[in-house]
Amino acid sequence: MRGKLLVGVVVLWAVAVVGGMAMLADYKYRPGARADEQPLWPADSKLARGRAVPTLVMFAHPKCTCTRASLTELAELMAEARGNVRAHVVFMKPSEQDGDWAHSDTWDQAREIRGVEVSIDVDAAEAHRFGAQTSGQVVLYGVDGRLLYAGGITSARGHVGTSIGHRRLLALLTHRATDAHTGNVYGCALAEREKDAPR
Amino acid sequence: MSNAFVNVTVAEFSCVALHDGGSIRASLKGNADGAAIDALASLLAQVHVEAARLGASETVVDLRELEFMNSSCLKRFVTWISNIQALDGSARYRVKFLSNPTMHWQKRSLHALRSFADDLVTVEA
Repeated sequence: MRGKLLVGVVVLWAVAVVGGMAMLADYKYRPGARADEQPLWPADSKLARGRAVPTLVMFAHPKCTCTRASLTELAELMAEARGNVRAHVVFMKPSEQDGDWAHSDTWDQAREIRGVEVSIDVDAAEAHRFGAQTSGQVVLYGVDGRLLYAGGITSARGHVGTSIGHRRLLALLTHRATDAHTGNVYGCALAEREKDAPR
Repeated sequence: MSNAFVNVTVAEFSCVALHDGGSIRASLKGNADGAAIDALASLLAQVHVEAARLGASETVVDLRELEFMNSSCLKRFVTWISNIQALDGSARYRVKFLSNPTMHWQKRSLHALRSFADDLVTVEA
């Protein structure tokens, strides 16, 4: 009897472990909502566009911890691009929140990236203009205002390392051919509010 | 509409292109969503060929009854205008959009198109 009970407990434990790992994997590798890609730089955007070099914009939720990895990748990309890009990181902030709400650790991380302009996007107005829906969404526009890339820059939520998006962006910034102009985005929804944002 | 060289209806989208004297006029109606992409691309390709054949100086695109256009369809317009930009100076033709100011999406999208090619694109409300 005790033997059967022990076997039952072990089976339940194994199911729980495997199930939990599967849930974690699903969370980590499930992409966020794709952007409604805007083929041209939105004419009503308040962000400055580069006239001599392409312009990259990353949209971020300040409470999304997965975005740390996207910013780490962006820092590397900026170094690799060697000044051949104008870059913005735009942190959404609900209008009902005070000014410090967006000043999270990822805000500080973005401010430390050389060559990146960091700004607050009240009620995600800019994100809406560019069709961005997920924290970590990157868009790259050419000097003529045409969309060159829309997607993420990591291979999973919170994962630092080689990714298809990073490789494609680097190719575009270094005038090399790329196999595609989109990629998955891994992060939290930009529309999430502080109360339900991930910790 | 005997001088129409394109007359297509797909789902909730319809488009007609016709010769209008020495120029070309295209009218789009309904809902230009995913189902309309191929029809729109075909329309613009044929308009481009006809404009070149006629040596037209202007093409009019009437969007006043177009209720919605998604970004994939807008991309087809970007491609079309890029193709016009790629022509030699004398072969280029202007594009005049007739818009409906009550449709907010038209204001944004057409503003972006005009910014992209302000020497070729005009927008009339």
